[in-house]
Amino acid sequence: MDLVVEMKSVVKRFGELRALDGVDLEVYPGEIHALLGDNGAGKSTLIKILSGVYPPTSGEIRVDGRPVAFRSPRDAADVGIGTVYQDLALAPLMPVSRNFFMGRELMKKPELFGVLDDARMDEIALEQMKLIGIDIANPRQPVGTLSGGQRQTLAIARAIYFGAHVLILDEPTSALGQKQQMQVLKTIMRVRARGNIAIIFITHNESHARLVADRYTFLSLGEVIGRGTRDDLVQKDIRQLMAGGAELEDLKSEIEALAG
Amino acid sequence: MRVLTARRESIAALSVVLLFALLAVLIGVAWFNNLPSLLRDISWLGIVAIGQAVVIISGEFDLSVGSVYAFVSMIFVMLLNADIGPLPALLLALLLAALIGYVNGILTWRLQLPSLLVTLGFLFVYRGLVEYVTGGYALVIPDEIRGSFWLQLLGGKSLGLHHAVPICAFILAAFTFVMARTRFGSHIYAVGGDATAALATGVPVGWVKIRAFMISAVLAGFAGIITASNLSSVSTTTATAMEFEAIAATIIGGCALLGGAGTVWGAFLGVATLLALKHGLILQGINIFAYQIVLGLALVGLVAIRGVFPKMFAPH
Amino acid sequence: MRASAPGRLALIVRTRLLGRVETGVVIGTLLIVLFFVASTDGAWLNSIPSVLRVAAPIGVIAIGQALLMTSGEVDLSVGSVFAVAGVVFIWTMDSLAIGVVPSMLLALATACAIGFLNGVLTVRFHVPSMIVTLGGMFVYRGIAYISTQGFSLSIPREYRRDLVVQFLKDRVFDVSVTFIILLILTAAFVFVLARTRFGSHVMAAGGEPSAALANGVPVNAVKTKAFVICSGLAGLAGIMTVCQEGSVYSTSGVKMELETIAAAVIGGCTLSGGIGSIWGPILGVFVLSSLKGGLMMMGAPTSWYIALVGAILIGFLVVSKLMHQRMGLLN
Repeated sequence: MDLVVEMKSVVKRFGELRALDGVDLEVYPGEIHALLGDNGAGKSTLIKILSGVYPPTSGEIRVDGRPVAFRSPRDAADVGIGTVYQDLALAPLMPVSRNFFMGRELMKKPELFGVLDDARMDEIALEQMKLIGIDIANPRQPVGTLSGGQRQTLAIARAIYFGAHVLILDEPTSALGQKQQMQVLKTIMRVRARGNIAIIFITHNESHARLVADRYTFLSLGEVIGRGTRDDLVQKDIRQLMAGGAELEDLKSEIEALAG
Repeated sequence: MRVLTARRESIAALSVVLLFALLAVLIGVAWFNNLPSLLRDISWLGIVAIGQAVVIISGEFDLSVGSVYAFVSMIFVMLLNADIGPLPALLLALLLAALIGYVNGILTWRLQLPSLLVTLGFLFVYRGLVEYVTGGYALVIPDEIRGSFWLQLLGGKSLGLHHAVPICAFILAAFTFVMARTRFGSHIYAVGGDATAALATGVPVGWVKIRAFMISAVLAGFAGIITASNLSSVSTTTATAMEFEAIAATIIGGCALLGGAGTVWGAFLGVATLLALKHGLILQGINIFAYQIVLGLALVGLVAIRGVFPKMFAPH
Repeated sequence: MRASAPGRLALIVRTRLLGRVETGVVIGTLLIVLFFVASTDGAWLNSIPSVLRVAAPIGVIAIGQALLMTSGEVDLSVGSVFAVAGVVFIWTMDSLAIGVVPSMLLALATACAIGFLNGVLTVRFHVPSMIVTLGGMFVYRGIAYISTQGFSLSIPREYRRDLVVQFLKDRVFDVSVTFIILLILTAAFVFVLARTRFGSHVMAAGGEPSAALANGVPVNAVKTKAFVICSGLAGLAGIMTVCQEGSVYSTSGVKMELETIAAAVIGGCTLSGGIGSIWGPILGVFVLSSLKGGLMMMGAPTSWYIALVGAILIGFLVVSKLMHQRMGLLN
């Protein structure tokens, strides 16, 4: 199987700090790839490099087999990498469909006058969101009235519609309640079911990764400390990897002592 | 260069020094003869600007200062005319000013309304009241009490120096101390810098802001009172557009428009810059209206310097 | 906050009717009309044409102010630009003698150039628009004072009978031409804000600038255009007024920045932007102007008007805040 995204020994230095220290990442088409790690492990540096926010200090990145060097987020979007950040880039006071098409509005002909084609934008926005499982009654309702999960879905649907075949989701479940988290995971699975979109799912919640991921890569202090397939993921004690094994054991006994 | 840009007040400080030197050379003796009235004017507007600076540093605006200045001094003169004596009149008028500030603050904080709009509303309300009472004329202090101790203390002159000058100097020193050395001062900066963080760490954000508005209104009213004591009258157009002058001075003096940074003495230097320009233009016989143009250019120009050279003025 | 089936109707009532940003000003307009009609036994209705004539130039400026506030900026210089456009208009007719229409165009171009400068200083040099336009307010007012020498400038005699000037002074069925212009502009800008890409970008730039930028909305260009439109409309209002009154005074347009901001806020705009209306602010202007006219009819001094503008603004803010808190709409 050909890789959609391949990163080889990517290094990123900020002055003295080595945020990434020779990281490899292999993402297969149509699969969900969980990028795991604790805060400060280098997850967000990695995705910012992949989505063109800043260039790597050294290393190679290939998308669909071709080497790429992004100078801006635009470049990354042009080769089909769509990133959904935690803030989702939505304007809460504006309607759903206007948010869906923000910056890429559809206009009636002649386009010179800049008159919007609201009917078509409504139709497409609803259809695209339905495709990954959210049925919104009114495309004109302000985004501020949607639930957190629905907002996430809107942002994901938007990225896919505008040509992303690699979807980067930055901690999509972190700021949500239990129920909303499950809704987002369902959305992710529905995107996977389409078969043509690879998802890089950044999370520090390993139970979420277990539920949806086909493969995983583990980062700690800027290095890859574990990788594998779904089966490996189920067997290994991820929690151990996540907090660095022994430390967690120590912590456990300390907590028990305190609870005494 | 580092010394020059290290402080937010440096632009205003440099402007004051250069302007005073330049105008002294250009105008000569007349400049020095005019100094007493320049210092008096600087003191009047300076007291207002100190209050405005406290409010702006706390992250709010007070557009009502000009109207409050006129309204409170009008009430002061009316009370004098009602013959209740200068000291009770002064205290009652200041109490009224404190109440006005309290209302500004409570509406802004309790209802979470933008202070710019609340105080804009009151700008109209108090100005309307002043126009209604004065009816386009002036209200004067009765002759027989003009010489009384309190009016002389506030509006008189000793050794060629208007009393407004030491009064303003005292207020400036007091608020410089309060802002730099007291818990209240540090709360003002905290509230203006990041209200959410301040609230989370237990700063009584609402009460701090309300007190800032009260300070601003009391100082504006007090400045109005000492002006009225000096001129013995209040008129319909007293202090129109003063809110804009006070805000301009505060910003030129280095206070951050959205709060959290700046000093009261910076605002005072801003006032000195503007009024030195005004008096200089008048003494040079240049059209008085040119002052407005210079004031506008100075405001935008001095603030834009930061935008044009962002590296130089980056926070250290 | 998803609606359950029985709650749906209530939600529609809330969001479609009460939740509209213009609800307050509509109620206010009805109340004020009822009050004046009742208190003058209907005589007030006869004053409507003159109220509309007074409202026209302020309304034209309020359109620009509302658009700019929706984009998250504010313009304190509109009153001074209003005066300067009148000065340029008369001055070019007088000294350059290039005819009425070219003079108008030159005055309009001057106003638009001022708007462009405001925009550039705000978005490129990061000077807050309040400061830029506060400075502009002083500068252009100073220019107006100096060029009128503290008094006024009048349209040169030979141009007073000019067709264009007469047209702008004229009435059609008792409705002044300037008010008809206001209606056309209102309709046009309601459409622009609601139905065009530019309008959508204005909302996005004001509401969530970082989201707008992330989605490729040219926030700086959008804001600059809004500044140009705002100053341009202030200039147009100045030209209209000069044609009507024949002169521009050193104090023409003083406090107009505050009146238009008050009207915009009463009509549903906010200082922070991202939400706004065009016809709401126009109703706001109507409320303020009919108040002025009504008070004059009842023989009240103008100081009442000034005080009431403030009271209405504060009252509106308080009531709409309490309503929103009660209904829990959008924060």
